[in-house]
Amino acid sequence: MSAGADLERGIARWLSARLAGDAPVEVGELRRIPGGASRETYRFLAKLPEREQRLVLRRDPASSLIETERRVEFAAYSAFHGTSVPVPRPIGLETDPQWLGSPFFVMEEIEGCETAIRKLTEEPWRNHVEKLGLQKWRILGDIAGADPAAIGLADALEPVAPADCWRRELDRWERVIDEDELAAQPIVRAAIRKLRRKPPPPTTRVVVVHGDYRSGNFLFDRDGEIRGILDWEMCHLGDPLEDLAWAMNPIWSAGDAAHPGRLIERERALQVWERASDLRVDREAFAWWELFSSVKGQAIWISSSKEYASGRSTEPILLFAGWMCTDLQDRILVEAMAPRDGAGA
Amino acid sequence: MRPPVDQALRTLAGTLLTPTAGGAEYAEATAQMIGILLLFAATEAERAAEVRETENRAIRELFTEAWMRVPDPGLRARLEEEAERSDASRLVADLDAANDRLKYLLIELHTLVEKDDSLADLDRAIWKLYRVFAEGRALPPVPF
Repeated sequence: MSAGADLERGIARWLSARLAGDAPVEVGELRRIPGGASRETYRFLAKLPEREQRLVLRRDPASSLIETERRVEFAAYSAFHGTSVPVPRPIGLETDPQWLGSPFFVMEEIEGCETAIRKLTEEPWRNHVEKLGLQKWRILGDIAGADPAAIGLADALEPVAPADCWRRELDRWERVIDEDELAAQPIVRAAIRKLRRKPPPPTTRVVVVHGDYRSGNFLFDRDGEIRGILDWEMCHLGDPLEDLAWAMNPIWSAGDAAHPGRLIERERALQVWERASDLRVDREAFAWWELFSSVKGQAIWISSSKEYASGRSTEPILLFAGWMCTDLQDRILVEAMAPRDGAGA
Repeated sequence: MRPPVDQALRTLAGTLLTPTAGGAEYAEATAQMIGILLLFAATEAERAAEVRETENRAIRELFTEAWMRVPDPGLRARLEEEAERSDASRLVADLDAANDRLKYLLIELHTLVEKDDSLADLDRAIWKLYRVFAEGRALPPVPF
């Protein structure tokens, strides 16, 4: 029997036990969704006793792009479902490896959508660039404006003091570089030293940080509606500027930094975010978090190199990140930090 | 680039030779990604030795200017020693080993330079060097 058929059988057994009171369930049309090296993601059709339903499975692979928390991701979907932040409806989380060999969770599939930003150059999506941009930054503002306790997410996330947000994240990603670098990294090390020399002020509000909010991680339909924010595995509590800076990193803009994520103009995006979050962007603090976002990015790409080189994963996306993204991020860092005619970095 | 091209090509070959449970869409996306990676590998194969030799030479030239101005005697001695070396081998693995050794030493030097205003000209020279690294290793744009 093929690996795909084995997986279908395992999913059917689990659905039967967890959702159908042990009644027979059939699973078919299993297809792996490309991308996403930190999880294996599949779509499938479940034939339950009362209905058919299209679902998505997210399963831990043997290795991942970064160390991630499956519980955190599921908790985030559960917390935001039904709010102004669109997410797929979560169905169930399973941590016992007896079913599929590793922990996983299941959620409803949001059909008829894309995630690839290159679609924005094609019909009909190219007509919705402004609409998508306004939604993208508004939704991020809504995430930052949400009360973690009120939506039931505070207990699932490690607490952090406002003054410690920057240090915790910088320590975390520097540690990743220390552990995973396959070559000397003088450019990102210079960035880390600069960040430590002059940290940002404490945040005025500790919020839910998605951790990987960017173009490519949201579902949008042919009418230009954002229907789901995905990939919450790096969700944590922290400074709201962290998410904003990550989403605006030039690496997501294909060379057009004036239109972060290849959508609306940067200043307009910031205004939309401020209105939605009811927070003001401290520009000096934001500059810190923007430089940090490139350090975080470089740490993730370096980690992907290590995973691929070690053989723990053979997903080509990891090699792409390790080769292409480290290159791009180094150039972004040099542009951000190199002295201009005598000024210091 | 790490992992190195030869190792990556072997792993990519294994991926192409191994049946996948992902379905046609996943297989097609994987094949496209591998195509892009092969283009990167071709770029790297052509320039690998030159890029590393250029970087190693530039770092040693910087060390030649810098070592006399470094107050720390241990660092000064290591900088002087590296400044006087040259690359004897053109094997990429050997050039990489030298490149790493030079860059780790460069990190030490830059850390010290940043703390000393009298070495501001060295700071600017090091940033020019970082630009050489970043631009010299730039990969072609992704073809989509």
